[in-house]
Amino acid sequence: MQINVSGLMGMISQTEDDELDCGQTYELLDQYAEIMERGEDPQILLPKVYRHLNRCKDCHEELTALLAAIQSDHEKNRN
Amino acid sequence: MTERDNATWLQDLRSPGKCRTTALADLRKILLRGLTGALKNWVRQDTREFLSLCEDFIQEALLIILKHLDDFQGLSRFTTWAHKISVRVALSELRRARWKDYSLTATDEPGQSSSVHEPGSPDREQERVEGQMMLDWMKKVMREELTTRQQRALKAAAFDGISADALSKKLGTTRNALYKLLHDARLKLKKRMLKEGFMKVQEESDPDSERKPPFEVSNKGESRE
Repeated sequence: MQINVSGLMGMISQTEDDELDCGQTYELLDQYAEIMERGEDPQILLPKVYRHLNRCKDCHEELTALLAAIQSDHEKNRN
Repeated sequence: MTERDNATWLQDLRSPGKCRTTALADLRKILLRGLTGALKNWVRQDTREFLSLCEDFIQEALLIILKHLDDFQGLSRFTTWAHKISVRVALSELRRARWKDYSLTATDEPGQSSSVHEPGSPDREQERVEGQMMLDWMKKVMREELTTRQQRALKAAAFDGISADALSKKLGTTRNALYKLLHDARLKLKKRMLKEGFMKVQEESDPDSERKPPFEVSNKGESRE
């Protein structure tokens, strides 16, 4: 695996005293996905969740998978 | 399949008898439609085991959903909330399977990532050297500033790319507690970076600025095997 040291240093420099943890982000992830689905801007509507998702690989993966699940459900429901 | 709004889903799943059985069957179909799409980059879908694996995940998700119906606040569609739970169940299990053989080490112990590799970029020697210097500095301050547990967790998460799900299990903690451990570590390292002039004060106060995540976002082509 390639090390992304500059990315890590960037993430450290962006560390905030008050950040959402994975549990708090998970609570809002369904709302966040629907904001994206509607084409609205989650960076404005849920900025703390947006910033957590930029830091946390697991939560970002879960958002990506959730969006794929919603899309797949819609597509298969139409067929 | 019956179209339901959020209130109807809750009502049907709480009601006894046939109404609940039908709602559960419908929800199972919806979750299966979703999960097959959600896992397309995680698990090979051309195997007999795929459907069985999805059904196992959905069975577990349904138990969680039924247990936590009171937690649903109606701020999204009920089915989106249910997909979220199904996705969490599936990815947690797949990550733990993927990382089951990973061994935790501290930064001064041999690990998978003792140097910066840039395959395919022989003309970028200067960049490689600078990257190696940054890596060496980072390892040094990690040893000086962090506890052994913080070092191990940060190395595993940031350098080796282990998932938080798998790492929290290996550390015998929860994902939230792991996040706090790493957050505390990042705060210490940030303080050191400021002290040594690695970052300017104005960068510190711009949390909304666009930036590339320090991890590979795509998991395309990876499978459980």
